[in-house]
Amino acid sequence: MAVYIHERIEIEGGGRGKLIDMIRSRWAPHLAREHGVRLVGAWATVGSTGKWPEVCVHWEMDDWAHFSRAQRGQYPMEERDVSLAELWNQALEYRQRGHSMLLKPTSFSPDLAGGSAESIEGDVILHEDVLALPGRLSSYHAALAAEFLPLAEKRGLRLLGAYAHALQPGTGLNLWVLRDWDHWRELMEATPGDAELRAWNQRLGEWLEDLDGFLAVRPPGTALRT
Amino acid sequence: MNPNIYLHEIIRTVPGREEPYMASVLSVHSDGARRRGEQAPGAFGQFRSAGVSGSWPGAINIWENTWSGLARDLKLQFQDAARDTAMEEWWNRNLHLRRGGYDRILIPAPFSPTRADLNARGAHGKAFLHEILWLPFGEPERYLEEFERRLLPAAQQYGLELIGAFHVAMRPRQVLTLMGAAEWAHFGAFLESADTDPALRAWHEYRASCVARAEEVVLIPARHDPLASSETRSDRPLTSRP
Repeated sequence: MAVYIHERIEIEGGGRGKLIDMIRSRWAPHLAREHGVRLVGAWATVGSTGKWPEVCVHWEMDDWAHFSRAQRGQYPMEERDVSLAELWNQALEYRQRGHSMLLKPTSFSPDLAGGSAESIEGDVILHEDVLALPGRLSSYHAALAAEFLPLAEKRGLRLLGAYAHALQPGTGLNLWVLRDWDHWRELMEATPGDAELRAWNQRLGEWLEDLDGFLAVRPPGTALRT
Repeated sequence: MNPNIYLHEIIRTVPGREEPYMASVLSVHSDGARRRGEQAPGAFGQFRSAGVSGSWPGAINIWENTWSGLARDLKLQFQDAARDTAMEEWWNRNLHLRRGGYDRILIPAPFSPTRADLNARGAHGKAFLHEILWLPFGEPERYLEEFERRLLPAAQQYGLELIGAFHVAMRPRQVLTLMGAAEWAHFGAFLESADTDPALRAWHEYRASCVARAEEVVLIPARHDPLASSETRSDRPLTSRP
């Protein structure tokens, strides 16, 4: 079972595009080559829908043994991985702080290879922070798989991942892929009159304390200068 | 029925730079050259924290738009190969005015006015009560109905008027409401009467029964915002002031 690190990185000034470029072109190839860690995505948070300026980065490892090897190989990076230490310090111009989550996938969550094989891709990511009522996260995930996933897929949403936090009980993360901005607009326009989605939202209180969604994008290399 | 949607921005401004920031961001939103012939989203309202309740300092921008207009703007901002260079230039040259923020997309309740509605009734004020509320799943719709049915008539008795009442897109527990008082004395009387006015007391009892979390901030309007003044509002275009 794969495991994941999900980072939300607070950006300094206009460094968002530059940090994404650096992660794609230098950081991710280094982590893949030296430690086998795979980049699932480096996305710009769409500021109009959440916190800004921010970048989200999602990393995949094979399992906890791989996680342990990869971290042992990196820390302390001044001794074990000086190239990474240099990247880390160079990136201070673009970011100085962030927040990471260690995540376990649900049984129905595709891994990177499976997602690629099934062509789970699109321009827009719907990022949902999940906070369950005490003891209800597993039940929520069961209902998500059995009841919501078919509704979502009928509306063109593809599940990129549904996760439980490895250390914080009740905390989860859902990532959905939307085809493009027109797909998002169609969904938003249709939602108020969509009886099935409305019924699902009404039931969320059976399992959840809160559900907080925002959008992120995987910008093309030439399009983002902020 | 209000057909629009609203982009709501809470801005961590550089302390003391709230008014220059609000004027600056209005200028980039109003820049017709960025729009390629499309209509610019209008400023629904721009405000800054008064510092009497809630977080400060900060600014709040609310822009009136449509789903189509917002999707077009976001595509231009993030994925258009031609790039929104005017926005990029503005973003990188105004870092001394703001440090970051948190945005929401708001869906108006049926009774929530448009900017044109507010203009037509000459809406203005010196103090604005802005609330973001977390309610049980399924309750936001009822909350907004009760807000219209119970609170608005009672608040109007004290000189407070509705500026907006909204659901929050992709955040099914949240609602956001905004009311304005023409004078601080009106706002004070409204607060003073919370326990003694039977209608307000009933409203607060309902609120206490369902609100899980509330973030309030008391705001004053940007000096250039039409909501700031009753004297000259008819002379003030919505989006072209610097």
